[in-house]
Amino acid sequence: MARLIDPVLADLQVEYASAISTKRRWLALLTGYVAFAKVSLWCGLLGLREARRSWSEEDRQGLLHTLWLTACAIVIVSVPLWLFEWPSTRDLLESMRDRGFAPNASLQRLMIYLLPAVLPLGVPVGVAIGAALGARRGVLSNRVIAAVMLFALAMSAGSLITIGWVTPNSNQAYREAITGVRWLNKGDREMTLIELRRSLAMKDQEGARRVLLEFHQRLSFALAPMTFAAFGLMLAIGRRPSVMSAVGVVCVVAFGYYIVMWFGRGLGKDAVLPPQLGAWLPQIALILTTILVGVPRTFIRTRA
Amino acid sequence: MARRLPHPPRLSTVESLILELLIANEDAMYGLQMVAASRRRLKRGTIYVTLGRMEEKGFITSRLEAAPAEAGGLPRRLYEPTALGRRVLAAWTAAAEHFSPRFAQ
Repeated sequence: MARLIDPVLADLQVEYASAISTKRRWLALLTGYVAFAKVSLWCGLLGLREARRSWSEEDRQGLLHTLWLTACAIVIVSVPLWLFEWPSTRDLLESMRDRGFAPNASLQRLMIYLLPAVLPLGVPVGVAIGAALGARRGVLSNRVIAAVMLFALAMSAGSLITIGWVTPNSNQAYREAITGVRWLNKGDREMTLIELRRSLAMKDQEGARRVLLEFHQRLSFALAPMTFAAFGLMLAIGRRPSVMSAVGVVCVVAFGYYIVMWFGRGLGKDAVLPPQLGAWLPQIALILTTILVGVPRTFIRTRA
Repeated sequence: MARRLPHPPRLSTVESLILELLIANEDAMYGLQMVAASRRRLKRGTIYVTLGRMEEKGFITSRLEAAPAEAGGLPRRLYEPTALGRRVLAAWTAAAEHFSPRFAQ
């Protein structure tokens, strides 16, 4: 990789240095970043190809099994959560009509607006179940662990985009559609991460605490696929759990996570804890649980 | 039983263009210099990957510049064609000319 990345950086440095004197600095910087991103992408693809060649059949099967189980678990968890909103959305739509509002969307369209809010809830649980059950048939090698964590990182990035930008916009679209009013003022949950950050300056102390809590809670929740995947992998290390016990443990942990999340939110809102700590409390609790579960299991694995 | 011959070296269009540029230029060249000399036929995002692959194949060789051009900067990597690279390009050009429709007429 040094033979690929270093020459690009060296050449771009020289090009940038010469562009400063000719007032083409920004163009050189932009094209330089694009070129560097392309080379990095190529390096990543070449690295993946090399890694794929050196993978054993067992590793490959283990990873595919994990990804397949994760996808199934995400669908199985997300769809009921999504459909659970159907009756309340239908009732809300009818009550809005009764109260004289003129909703401009069908029930189906409103349900589509709710989809982005459900996915980040289903993804962490799905990833944890997939990670816990994925390599049950074979040996959980370090390569599979690294690949699953990389996959979880990609899921976290996706969750960040969803929670930070897609869900607030779909929430706002939902509100505007159900009231039939355009340009409604945005609440905290309808603001994107950037809008939340900007609104901080205009808030009083209590408002700022609320916004800060919402901002950090979104960041913390976006990281959930990573921490849940680590927890799922810890379950798969050492003594392998049965399907039922793995699903049961992950569901209990997910339920506990949401309880700690609401608990932390309450403490952060009431100024018992700093809002940042209140928002990150469930993540801290899950990481501690993973360490507590993982250390004895890793010890068993090392001895075995 | 006939003995299987080893695969002859293959040269892609980009690789042959890089070799042509390096042979035409007396001195060793660096990546962006080749991009500029190729009149946009070479892309700055892909040339370094191609150069790395050509070096692995033994068509070109590289060395680091003696001293950084800018203070604190990384030394640039300069590329030169090898004897194998020159021979492969000559053979490839001859083969391309031989099989081209223009030549058949």
